[in-house]
Amino acid sequence: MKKNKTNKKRKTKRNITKLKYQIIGGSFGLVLCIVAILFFFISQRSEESYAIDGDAVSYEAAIKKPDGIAANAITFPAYADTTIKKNTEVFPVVLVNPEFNKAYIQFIVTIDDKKVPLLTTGLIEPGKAIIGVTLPKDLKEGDHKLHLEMLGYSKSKEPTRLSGSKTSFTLTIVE
Amino acid sequence: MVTNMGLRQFVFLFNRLGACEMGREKKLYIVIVGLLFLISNVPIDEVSAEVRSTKIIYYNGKNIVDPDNPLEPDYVITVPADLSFTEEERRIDASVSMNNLKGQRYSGVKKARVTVESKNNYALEHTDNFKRISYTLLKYDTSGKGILLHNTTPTGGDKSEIGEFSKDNTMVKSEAILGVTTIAQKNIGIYSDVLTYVVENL
Repeated sequence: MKKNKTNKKRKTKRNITKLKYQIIGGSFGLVLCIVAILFFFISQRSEESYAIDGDAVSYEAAIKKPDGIAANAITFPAYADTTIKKNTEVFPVVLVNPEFNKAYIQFIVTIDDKKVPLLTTGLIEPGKAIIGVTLPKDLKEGDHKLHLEMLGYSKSKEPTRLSGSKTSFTLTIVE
Repeated sequence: MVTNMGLRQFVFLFNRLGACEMGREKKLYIVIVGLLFLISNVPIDEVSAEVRSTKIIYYNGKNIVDPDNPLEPDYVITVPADLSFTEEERRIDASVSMNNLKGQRYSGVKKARVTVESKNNYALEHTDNFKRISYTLLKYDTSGKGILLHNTTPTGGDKSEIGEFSKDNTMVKSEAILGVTTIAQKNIGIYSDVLTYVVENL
């Protein structure tokens, strides 16, 4: 009788220990999964924020370094009002980061009072450009305001925000 | 419609033809000759008047962007990239200039108003503990007098104006000055603010 009781106790004890290990192991696995998922999303986000734009092309823009500018300066382009023909699908414009800049530039293009951008580029390296902005299909004849937001980023491993610039110009659509 | 000269020539022709026997063909011939004569004698200034009344739609071909020759920047604006204060350097040159694409000061016909806005209302914010160090951004007028720039409203509304830029005013001297002289050891770290320069074509 005594032997049986002792055996039962041992068995129960073993089961409890097994359960303990299972709980600890399961918890550890769960935490590991959560960490892996979080790491995945964070790395995705950081990749989105800091990714160099692969669509940017080398552009030999005739922009020379301005005389006598400070060492920590950044130069942003500004555009004149322009006209394009109706039904132009891609507005041919050079969104360029001058090659003498020591920073990346991200371009965000919106039209009129629309909140959703027509284009959000990745980080454009100095001396490179994105050429062309796809326009909405239902764009009517007349004047439209094209807003250009340019965000400067440091050229470091983890780019940080630098000064930015906002400008706009009139895009006239004609028959 | 018919000039005196035209009428005289018409009468002369008619008289000559009158000497001939009057047949149906001859009458027709007279009428045709007469009509041709009238048309050929419509005064030149009346033709011009008709041309002037024609509606002509004109677009300046230079302004329509050619897909093979995309729109390039018209000018560039140079601003400070960041405000990197150090213990030795508490004043930073923050001048703004308008330049053409050849690297020279702008010499064209455009005018632009440049305003500036600070993300942290002219304070540098610590990246970790959110401590703030205020600084001032000054612009200097042509007489050298410093004018303090500030966000007039946190969002929207008027921003601080750096100035109106044109070929006559291509650079505005500006300076950022750190507000404190010493920083506690525990608060030493990386502080930053983001300036946004708004360029408005005038």
